This record gives sequence, C-alpha cells and structure tokens, in this order.
Amino acid sequence: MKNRMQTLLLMAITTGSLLFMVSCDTVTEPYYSAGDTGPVDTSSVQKVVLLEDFTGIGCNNCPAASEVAADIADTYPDQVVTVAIHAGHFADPRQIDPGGVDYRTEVGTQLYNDFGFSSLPNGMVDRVEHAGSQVTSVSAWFENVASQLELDAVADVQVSSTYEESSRTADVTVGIEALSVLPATAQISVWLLESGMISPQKDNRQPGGKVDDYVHKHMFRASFNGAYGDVLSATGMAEGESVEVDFDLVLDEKFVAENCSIVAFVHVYDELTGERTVLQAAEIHLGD
Amino acid sequence: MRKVGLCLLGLAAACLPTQAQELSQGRLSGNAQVDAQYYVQDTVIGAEDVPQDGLMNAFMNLNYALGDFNAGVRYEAYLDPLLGFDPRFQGQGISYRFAEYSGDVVGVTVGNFYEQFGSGLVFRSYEERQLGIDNAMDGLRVRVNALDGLQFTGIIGKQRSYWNLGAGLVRGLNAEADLNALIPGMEESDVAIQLGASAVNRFQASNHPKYSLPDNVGAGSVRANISYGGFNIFAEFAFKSQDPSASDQYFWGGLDSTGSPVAAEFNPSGYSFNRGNAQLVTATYSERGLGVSLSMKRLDRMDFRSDRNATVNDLTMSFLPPLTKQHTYRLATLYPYATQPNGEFGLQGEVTYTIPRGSSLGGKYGTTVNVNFAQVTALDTSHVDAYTYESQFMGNSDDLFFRDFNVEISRKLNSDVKAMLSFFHLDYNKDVVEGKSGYGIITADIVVADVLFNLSDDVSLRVEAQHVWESQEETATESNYGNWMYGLAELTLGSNWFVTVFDEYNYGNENEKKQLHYYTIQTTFVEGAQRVALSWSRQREGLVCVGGVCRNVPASSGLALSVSTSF
Repeated sequence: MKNRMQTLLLMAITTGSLLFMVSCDTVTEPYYSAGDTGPVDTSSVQKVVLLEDFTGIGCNNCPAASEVAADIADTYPDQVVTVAIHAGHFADPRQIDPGGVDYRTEVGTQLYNDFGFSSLPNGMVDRVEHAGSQVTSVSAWFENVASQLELDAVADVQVSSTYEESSRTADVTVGIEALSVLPATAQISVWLLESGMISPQKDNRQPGGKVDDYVHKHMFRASFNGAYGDVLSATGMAEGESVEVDFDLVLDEKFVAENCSIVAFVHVYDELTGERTVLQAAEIHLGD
Repeated sequence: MRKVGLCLLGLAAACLPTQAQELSQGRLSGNAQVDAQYYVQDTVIGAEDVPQDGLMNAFMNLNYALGDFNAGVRYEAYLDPLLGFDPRFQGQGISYRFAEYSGDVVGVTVGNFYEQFGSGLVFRSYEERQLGIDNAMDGLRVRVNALDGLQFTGIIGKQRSYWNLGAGLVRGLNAEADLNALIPGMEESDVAIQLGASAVNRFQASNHPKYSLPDNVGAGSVRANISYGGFNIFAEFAFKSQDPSASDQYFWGGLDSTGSPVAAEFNPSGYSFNRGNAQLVTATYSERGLGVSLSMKRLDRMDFRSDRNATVNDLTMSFLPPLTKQHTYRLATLYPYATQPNGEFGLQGEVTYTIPRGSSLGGKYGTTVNVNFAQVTALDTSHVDAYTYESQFMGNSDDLFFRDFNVEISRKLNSDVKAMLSFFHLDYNKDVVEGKSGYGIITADIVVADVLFNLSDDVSLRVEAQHVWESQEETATESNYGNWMYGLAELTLGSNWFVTVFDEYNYGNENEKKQLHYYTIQTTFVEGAQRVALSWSRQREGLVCVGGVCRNVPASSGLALSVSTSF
C-alpha cells in the first residue's frame, strides 16, 4: 500500500512537472510586422549603434547577411552605422578568383583575430557581449541592435570633413562631448568606408553560386588611427566636457572619393575583462 | 548529521581531524591530456602562418569520491587553441566543477553535469573534445528512484558556451520505467520492456522588433525498447514547439519577391514557425554468426539550442544520432555525413554474417561478411506561406543528401595473417553537408585492403592500401579533389611502442598544383593508462565528424605532441 501511495504521489508530481516543463509559447499570425519603431525623438542626442558585419567575397551566405544589416539600418534611420569588414579565410580572393581584388586590410584582419572570429558571416553590435560572446550570428543582430538602442547616448559625436582632390587627402574633425563621465580608457576611432565597388561575390542564392557584378557597400577601407584609435583624454572626461580632434589620410589611388564616407566612434576598454565596447558612432559622407 | 551541522555552524577546528580521516578514506581519480602542435607555414596546401608558432589544448579532471558523495573539477587551457578549434576557447581556468550526492532514493548534483534523455532527440548535454563541443549544464540535477525500475530526473540550468553560459534557461524532466522490474510477475518474462518519456523547455526572452518570437520553447519525447530473444526494437518519437531560430537561415528561405518559394538557401529573414518532430525506429536481430539491423529516422525541424541565435555546434540541446555508418578508413572520411537537423529522411540496413569455419567459403578460421546500405534524402515539403510549410511523413524528395553502400569481408588467413577487404560506393551531397555551392553530388568508389601480420610474439605489422575513384555531376561548377591513393604501415613493438607512417596522395586532382602528398609519421608509447605520441604531419583541410556532428579542420603542417594519463 505504501509503495502504491508513493507511486501515485510521484506520478502526480511528475505529471505536474511535465506540464510545467513542456510549457511553450504558441505564436499565431502575423509572425512578422514591418517593425515601425515610431518617430525618433530629436530633442536630445540619440544613441547610434555600430554594426560591424564581417564578410568575405568567397562567403556564400554573406550577401544575405549584408541585406539584414541594410534592413536594420532602414528600420532605425540615422541610428545605426553599418560597416562591412572583409577578413578571414572566406575573404581571401583565392576563394573565388585567384587574381581578383583583395578587400582585406591589416586592421580588419587584426579585429577578426582579436575578437575571435572563426567563420562568416558573423558580426558585432557595439562590440557588446551577447550570450558570452561579442561575435554574434546574423539572426542576433536585430535583437542586439534593439537592445543597444534602449540605452541613452553617453557621448555626442560630431564629424566634419574636407577632401583635397590634388593631394587625395581627407581631413576630418571629430568633436566629442561627454554626456556622462567617460573613463580614461575611452578612445576615438576614425575609419574610411567606400561603396560602389563592383566585383565577383559568392552567393548561394544565385545560379552558379556567384554574382559577377556584385555591388559592395559600406566597406571598411582604411583607418585614420589604427585598429583601436586614440585615447580621448589621459584623465577621462567629465560630464559636459568636450574635445575636438583632427585626423588626415591620403586616399589610396583605388578609392573613389565620391563614394567614400567617414565613420567615427567612441569606445571604451575595460582593463579587468579586456573587453572593448562601442559607446556612440557617427557617419558622414566624405566632404560633408 | 549532527557532525555536519556543527561544521556548518563554523566549528571547523573541532571537525577537522574527523574530516581528514574521512577524506583519507575517499578515492581521488582523474585524467589529464596535453595536445600541442608546432606549425610551419605551408602555402602549397593552404596552411596559413600561425603567428604563435605553437598552440596547445590541455585539461585535467580531478574527481573525489567518498561513499555516496562525489565532487570534481576540470582545469582547461587553450594557449592558444589548436587550429580548427574556436578561438573563443582562448584562455585557461576551471571550466567544470560539481558536487553530487547519490542516495538510494534521491540523488542531487549541483554545478556542472552532463545528461542525456533517451537517445538525445530532445536533450543531450555532452562533451566531445575532438570536435570542441562542451555544452555542459551549469545548474541543478535531481534524480529520484521512486521504485525499483522507475526513475525520474529533473534538470535546470544553463549550458556552457566556451568560457561563459548560453542565453537560455534550460529546464527538463525525464522518466524511465523498466516494466520487468516494476510490475510484479514480469521479472522472469522472456519479453523485456523499457519505457521512457522526456520534456524539456528553453526560456529566452525576445525583443525582436519585427518577428514575434516565442520566449518559451518546449520539446518532448516518448520511447520504448522491447526485446525478446535475439530480437530488439527501439522506437522514439519527439516533438518540438515553434522555434524560429538562426538555424532557419540555412534551411528555410521563405518566399522571394515574386512569391516563389526559396528553399534550402540562406535567408536571414527566413524564420520558420513550423513545429518540429522526429521519429527514430531501430530493429535488430542477432544470433551466433548473424546480425541484422534495420533503421528509420525522420527529422523535421529538430535543431534545438539553448540560444535561438546560436550556430554551428554551439549550445545544442538536441542530439540527432547518425543513421549512417561512421567510417574510419582515411579515404572514406573524405565524405562524412553530418546530420541535417532541420529535415531529413533516412533508412539503413545492415547484415553481418560469419561463414562458419571449416566450410569451403569460410576457410579454416571462418569469414565475416558485413553489408551495409544507408540513404538520406531531404523531406518532401511544400510551402504554405513565407513562414510555414507542409511536409509529407513518408514521402521523401528526390534531393539526395547521402547514399552509402559498403561491403566488408574479413578473414583470418592463417595463424599469423588476418586480412580485411572493403568496398564503398558513396553519393555525397557536398553542397548540403558542407554548406558549399557548385559541387553538387560527388560519387566516390573506394576500395580498402587492411592486412595484419604477426611477425613474432612481440612484433606485428599492419598495412593498409586504399584508393578512391571520384566523379561529379556534369552540372557541377566547382571541382572536388578527384582520385586519391593511400598507404599505411603500422609497426607494433611489444605492448608499448607503435610506429605509424601513412601517406594520402591526391594524384587525380584536376589542378596539377594540388596533386599533393599528405603524410604523417607518428611514434606512440603506451604504458598502462599513460600515452605519449609524437608526430610530424601534413594534413589536408576537411571535416572531422563524430556521431554525425562535424567540425571543419584547416590544412596544417607541423610537429604534434600528445601526452595523456589517467589515475
């Protein structure tokens, strides 16, 4: 009798637990909405997110990932800066055309290695750790961007630039105002991007798995100040404090100035964890 | 109990002598391994420069057992990770720690643990070091032995993701019943019946601005194993609730701008809201000299992870056992099949027969013949809309993923010579299995001869010769390797020393620059549980697979050292 009671009791507990464990949410249509994020409040400085899309011309799935990056930028106008960084095994021209264009850069390769990338497409959203990794899959980008945009901007980044055609020199001025205290490890990075290059790209959605006249966009071409930029202030910045920094870069002869833009972003280095996190980004067309 | 209570109250000094005595009655065990490699740049095979020159993976497990109590830790170091292992392993530290009490009725584990429900269709937390997989749980596990033959297991926690934990919270319950032990009068029955049921849940909040993604995803399975004499049948059926996830990107393309279905292609906006299900049935019969098995497996959206955004081999909760034979001969491993968790239909049949010794065919010592056939195809599906599809239960499409027909004949020729001859015919969909494009289905015919010579009481020599004839469809736009030949010699000296030399030669590669030799020279010393191996090798790029799960290994050249021990 005791055994029977024990069994019945355990069965009841088990049944109850099973109902708890198999609980699941049923999603009904519509599964998708256009994602109207509402009007942007322009009365204060808006948070602007940096989305680094690591990609490669020999990567089958990368064009689709770039479309996601573009979709995110369209969803949050003026609040997302996307950069396509060609790096890693799948960015090697031998993957598609042994004599083809090599879009890899030293800075891009250093970032790819430093942040632990091993496959493409993958990316980083403000270089923030998600589920234990700063490197996140394409499907996580939308949610990570949405999470980052819930944060208040802690810095205002204003960029202006001029371009001297005869010397092919880009002069950039970046003004940074601290909207809250910025630590001494806060740094500024300034990058040159280019769009409009046409060259072959693998894409397994297309017949033959390749697009011969693929138009590359928002491609990282060069850094004005290395892989991790310059420290803003050796003592950090108090709330309300501003600095202005000038940079210049001679454009490679392959770059088309009219198709270039300047991206500047403030990021901090955590000495304890070794993590680098982007706080605020900005982008302007070269010459604006 | 009173003694423990006093200790917990902080009277540690009073307890120490007794504790020390009890600790000394326990048992300490463990194992350790160091794998290090010095790399040399070899641009000919595509082996890239390794700035550190040398890389190393190492670990040590320490377990302490005292009566019903167990505790343990594992130290791991990746300084830096060997090529082919995810760079996110970089670092060192305690990656696994647990304490466990196993009583007659109740057992409790806190900290890290591995667990599997049934065959793993809805939950398997495990470590496969060769693949760089460790999705250990970090949380709590409770086992209750309710009655003889009736056991419940409950789990809660998060899974390991490199040096962190995954995003989702995992909760699960498993019940196992052995009817022969549970039901009076069945103890002596010729029919043995075991039943099982599992339920698992993942919680991960979503804030996707465009898709309605479920925070809670549930999965469950029921199973039965019935045996009678030489017959055995195992069946497991599993289901999963809606789980739009990163894995959809590779298997579900939704509809394109013209409204046409886009299937089996990467489309990051292509979440599927179908529910998942799986069926696994295996029937076997065995008697002296004869073994027969028939299996069927059908998977439909069963990729289940504790982070919906995880990819590759990260944070897997479901383990989908392979239905195809796992080949170990080197050239056959060029075409390894990796389970396609979001949709496949597979069948396998295998017969092993030993022709009796003394017969005209069997020879003096008997001859064993093994015939195996397996085929895996895509599911027969049709799209309903951009987010859902219908799939036929028994219908399988014409899209072949993998087909394998192989025959193995082994025979002892005399008291000192044993030989084995194998033939494999493989059809391998490289585009699907390896996520590439343009290769199509590769057909490979492979022959293997494996002969062992006992040269003396202490010395033996094993030699292998292999060859693969490879062909591709006319529609292929990318060339695969082409033909290979392979030779191996392995000398065993006493019970301690082994010397192995082998070479793979890709003489049939269309690209003459890739008609290369890939060789390994290795010497191994084994003494009990201690092993030291030193090798120089030039390795091709390829997939390494264990249990239908694969990892890509880049080409490399260099000196490798492996040291392991257990105690």
